[in-house]
Amino acid sequence: MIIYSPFFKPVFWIIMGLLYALVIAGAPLWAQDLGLNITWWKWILSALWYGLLSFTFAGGFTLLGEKEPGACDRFIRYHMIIVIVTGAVLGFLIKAV
Amino acid sequence: MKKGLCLTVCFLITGSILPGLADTAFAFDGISRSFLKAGSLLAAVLGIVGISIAGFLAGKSYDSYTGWERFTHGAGQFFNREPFQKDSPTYEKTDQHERLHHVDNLIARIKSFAMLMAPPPGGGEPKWSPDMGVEALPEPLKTYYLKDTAAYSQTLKALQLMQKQKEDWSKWETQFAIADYWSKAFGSLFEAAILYPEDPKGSPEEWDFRFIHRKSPLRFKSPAHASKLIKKITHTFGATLVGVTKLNPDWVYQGHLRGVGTGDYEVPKHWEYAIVFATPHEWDMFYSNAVYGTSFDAYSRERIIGTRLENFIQQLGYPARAHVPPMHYDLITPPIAVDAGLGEQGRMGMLITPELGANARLAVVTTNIPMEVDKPIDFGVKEFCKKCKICAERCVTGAISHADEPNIEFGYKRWRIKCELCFQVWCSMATSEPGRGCRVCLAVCPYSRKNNWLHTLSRHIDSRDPTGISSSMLLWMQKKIFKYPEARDFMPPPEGSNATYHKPPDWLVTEEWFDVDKTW
Repeated sequence: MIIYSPFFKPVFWIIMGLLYALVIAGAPLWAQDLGLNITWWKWILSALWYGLLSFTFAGGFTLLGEKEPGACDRFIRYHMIIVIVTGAVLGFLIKAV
Repeated sequence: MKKGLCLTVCFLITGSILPGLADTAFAFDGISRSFLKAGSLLAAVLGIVGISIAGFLAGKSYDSYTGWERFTHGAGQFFNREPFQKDSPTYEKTDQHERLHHVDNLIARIKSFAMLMAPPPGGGEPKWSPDMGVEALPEPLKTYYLKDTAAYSQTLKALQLMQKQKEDWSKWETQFAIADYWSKAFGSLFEAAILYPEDPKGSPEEWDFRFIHRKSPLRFKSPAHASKLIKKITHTFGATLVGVTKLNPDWVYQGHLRGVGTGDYEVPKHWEYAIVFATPHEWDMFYSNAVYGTSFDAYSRERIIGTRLENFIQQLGYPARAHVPPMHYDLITPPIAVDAGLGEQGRMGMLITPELGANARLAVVTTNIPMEVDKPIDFGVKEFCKKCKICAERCVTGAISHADEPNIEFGYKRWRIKCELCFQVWCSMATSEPGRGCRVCLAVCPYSRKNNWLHTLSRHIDSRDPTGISSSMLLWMQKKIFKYPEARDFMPPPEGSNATYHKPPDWLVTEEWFDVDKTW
């Protein structure tokens, strides 16, 4: 399958790297326009939250790839609860502190 | 590694350029600013989509089929065992430890029954039938079953089930044709006519030296050189995991020696070291145990490796004997693999390794090459098994102990397996012969996971956390996220539904490929 080819794999991760860099580039602009005072530790918490969201989907879809559709569904659902709760706490921290 | 490098380079280059561009060239350009903002939002979403795709591909990739990837170079043995090495194995030894007897081996007992119950080659009555009772059994079977009458009645029930299994096979043959014929194709490698390695004939002092043609053995530079080369060679012969240990005589059966027969024998002097190696089953088949599974694929690989290694060592000028599955052993393999640091013994009595979990079938070559030995490891299996019990809960006949703490058997601490009950399951599945086995306990073991980032991450976290919190969390997730069929469901109808842990791969499903009337 082409997707596993020695050419495609590094290209895929280069594209992913570019996407993440674009997120990093645009995030301060969003913060400025939304009038948010985001300090360094808020940026770190935000990055961790995005990492958690990514982990949720990456983990879930890994299980789907392993032919565990039920486990994929439950993995994403359980982790989304954590993502939503931590996201709400993070949102409060960013606005209030 | 490559992924990390690509990501880091892209971060550094693009991450330093884009904000600069945003601040300078586009700072006063509202359209470009909006474009960058929209782009970053889209990138955040695409990042999630991309990582989901990466996860899906990681789960699906054949690169994650541990033990089948670049194993000839030892790439399957990727777990760094050094931080987990201990001076003694995790099974505990009491003062009353003793050497195992050949009659303690279930397969040996069943083989004896088969011989006793078959008509003699020249015709006539079989030597024994169930109605003659336990008293009429020859020694050492008689003493063994007089001590354990429950095991005797369980064996008789298994023999009845075996007969029913044979009669019922015609009901299932079309449905499970590919699985059964695939299994038999592997099994054909150890049919008596073409047995590799050949079963010993004569004493070990003759048989284990038969390929030696040199006047004196090739001397290794050091025991470390010997160990390193032998491991490398064993990998090239097809082994995924290899370890070396001094042979504990307690693991060598007394009362029988292949090539010589029944009797009392000392452990041969040249069985000083044990080279123990493991190979996995094909993973998709393994997850569709019991009814689509087989043990024979890994067994035949083990036999080929054993044949090659035995021959190679003897050509170097050293004696060697291969002890290979399914029943051509003079010793018991899991504790030897534990001694050699390949893994730990699990609740279900099988070896659990960091790389393959319980999907590891074993064989041993005994020799006297002076080698540097490996240390046993403790990566938390025993503690995990105390809490987990999934294998015990899914065992159809309850052959696996539910006890929190291991029992003491032969002077060693381990969870007791009721072998006869285990054998009853083999004789109950919708398979053509009991030898196809069950292996549900191996497939449902949380350690039996492929080598993708998610499971490897879990393995590393679990084994490095001395508090046991992460193992409890992982176990909780295991039980909540993964759903297993109920134990009875693994049985054929009417007791069960021929359930499998995973859906079988399409290449094992008859109706995918053949023009058959699907009546199931």
